[in-house]
Amino acid sequence: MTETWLLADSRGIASLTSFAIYTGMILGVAWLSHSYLSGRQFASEYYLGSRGFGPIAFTLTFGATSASAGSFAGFPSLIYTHGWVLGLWIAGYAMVPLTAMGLLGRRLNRMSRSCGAITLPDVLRERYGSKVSLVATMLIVFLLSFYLIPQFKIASLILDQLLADVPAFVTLTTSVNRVPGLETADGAYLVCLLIFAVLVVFYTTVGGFRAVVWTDVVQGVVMVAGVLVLLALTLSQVGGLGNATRKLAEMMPPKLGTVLFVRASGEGSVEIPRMTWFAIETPGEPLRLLRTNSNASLAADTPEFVVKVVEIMTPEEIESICSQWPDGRPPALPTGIRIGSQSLREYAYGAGKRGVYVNVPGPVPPADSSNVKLAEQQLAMAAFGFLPLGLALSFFAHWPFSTAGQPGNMVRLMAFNTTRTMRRSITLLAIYFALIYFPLVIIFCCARIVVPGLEQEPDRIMPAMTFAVSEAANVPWLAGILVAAPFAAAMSTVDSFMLMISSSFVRDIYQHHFNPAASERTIKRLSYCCMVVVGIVVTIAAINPPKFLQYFIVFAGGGLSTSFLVPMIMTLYWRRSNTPGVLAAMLGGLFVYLSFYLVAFIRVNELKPLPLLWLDQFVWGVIASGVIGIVVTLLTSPPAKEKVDQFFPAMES
Amino acid sequence: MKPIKDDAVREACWIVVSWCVFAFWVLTACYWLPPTTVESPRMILGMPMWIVLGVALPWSVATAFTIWFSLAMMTDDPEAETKDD
Repeated sequence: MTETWLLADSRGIASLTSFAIYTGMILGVAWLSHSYLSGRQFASEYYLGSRGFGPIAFTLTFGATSASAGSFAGFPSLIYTHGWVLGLWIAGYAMVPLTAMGLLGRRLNRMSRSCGAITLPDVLRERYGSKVSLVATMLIVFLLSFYLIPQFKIASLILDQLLADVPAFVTLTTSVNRVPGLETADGAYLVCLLIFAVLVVFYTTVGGFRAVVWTDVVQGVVMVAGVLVLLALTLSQVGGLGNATRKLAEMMPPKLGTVLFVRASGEGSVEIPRMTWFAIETPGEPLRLLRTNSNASLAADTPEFVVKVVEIMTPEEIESICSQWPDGRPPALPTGIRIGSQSLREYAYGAGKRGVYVNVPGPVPPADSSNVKLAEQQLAMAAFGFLPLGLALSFFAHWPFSTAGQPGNMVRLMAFNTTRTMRRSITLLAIYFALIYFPLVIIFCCARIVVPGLEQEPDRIMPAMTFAVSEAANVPWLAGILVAAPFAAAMSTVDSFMLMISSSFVRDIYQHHFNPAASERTIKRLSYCCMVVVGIVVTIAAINPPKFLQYFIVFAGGGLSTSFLVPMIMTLYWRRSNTPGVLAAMLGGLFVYLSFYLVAFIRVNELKPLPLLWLDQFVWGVIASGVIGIVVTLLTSPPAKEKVDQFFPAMES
Repeated sequence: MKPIKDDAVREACWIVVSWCVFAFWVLTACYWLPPTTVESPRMILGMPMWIVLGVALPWSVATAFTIWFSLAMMTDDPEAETKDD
């Protein structure tokens, strides 16, 4: 065992060290925040940090929670696949600080203080009664659960990549498969899932909202520092941004598909790892350059193996890649291995065209679904490119307003101490997002040059890129630190949402509906138990999570915003707003939003909705929520004047 | 004292109008500016011209506007008392 440790390479040691330091900091912060619980009112401190946060903590908790693991896994893979057009796709984030904080912050904070509310359903209960509050609680628990499961899986996959080179981790994961019943399980994934779950459940349970905010501060700093260091290393490696853009302008999209490796002779097993370059040469024709995107294992009993491959189609790119080998071509495949049948498909939009990676609407890969109806639908959409004008408008609305409608963000708006803090936080958040999102676009456009041929496994581009640039800069230990950024993003999202689910059960269901006279001791114990139970349930669900994780995240995030954005605007700004109107806005918007998924399921048997008139389901859901909410409110009786007066004077006097 | 609700409504109007202005700027610039090609690589600061004028510049202006708006235009509320839970 000692020898194994000594054999750990520098990347493994760096990963382990950075992870250990990071974990130590998180646990230290949790313990420190736990000490704040004593001597303060438990519920207000545990679920809202006693509303005492200043601008830096408030900014970083808002920013870190908004930047989920998707920002460091899904977003880079989209940039890598579609190019510069992702700058336009994410451009709406420039408005997020104003819309997400400025639109609701002042009134929501004031209103929640005036009625002593510490959760979003608390605010709705004070304004409309328990019926609206209960519906809101159910929606939060239901939709956040959909959101948490993919986050657990993504975090575990990131941790797996972070620790993959650590010998002790490899030994541990192998031993998992010796446990009866787990012989065929993915040992590495299970170990990472358990580590992540224990860590995040522990610090969130022990420290509550204050621990979540303080760890968000650490995580927010890790994220922005990671992005800026990666940007500097990347620009240095590609020889400047102008050089990278010129190369991208030359690029034509590759062909994607599969190749059959056949074992013609030889003994023992042969492994061909993912990301292996190989060439196909035909006399009289130019060399064809391909890269594997999955592992191949050929043995006597498995003489054939199908692997995912990417074929580079740009002659200048082929020449540039081949120049790294002494004889101008990739090393030959292992002895006895020959290439059998090939199945390669061109891009659905942009095939054979130069310049698609540097212009709108961006290239579209071939349909990847075995579902014929879905593939036909994807092909029909692809005729317009990745981001036609209508969809660009849709995304410019989606990011600012869906972020404003997230209950997780609204809870944070209830936690700032003065409006001065909110105003400063809007400023800092604008700078924070500008430092994260636009640099990510630059980095992963350059990734097409630094790590070419990964189009079939684009979710791996973040770790692949960090390892490539840090090793090229001769600082391999830095990779371990850089890969901690997406892990931090996953953690900062999960901890907030777990706390919201716990508060929904304990405060909004148990205390308000079953035991209003519950003692602080009971609430405390129940809160701890609830956090642990939520953690266990989500961990079990994440052991075998559903496919298409990104779609679950989009579904849950959009559903929450559709349900809460308009009702909260009505609650905070409209005296005439009443219980039927808000319920109709909440459920009507969600119904229209879900209808898009239902229609998609009926049409193509999958939960991939089609935009209507180039506007996505979130935009239609919000429009429907607004129209239904206003109509139903005006058709029903106004709320009792004394009730409204009791609620609004705090704003108007 | 000016009513707090009025401040919030005024600020919300500013935010919605600014969103409309930036949406118009971004979408118009990105789809109407000429494309970057190998033959005529229209670039500013090493990036395609449309991304600089249609994304990077409006993003920078939006950030500057956000800072100005939040520090100079938004008002402070008087200290609010918090009711016990």
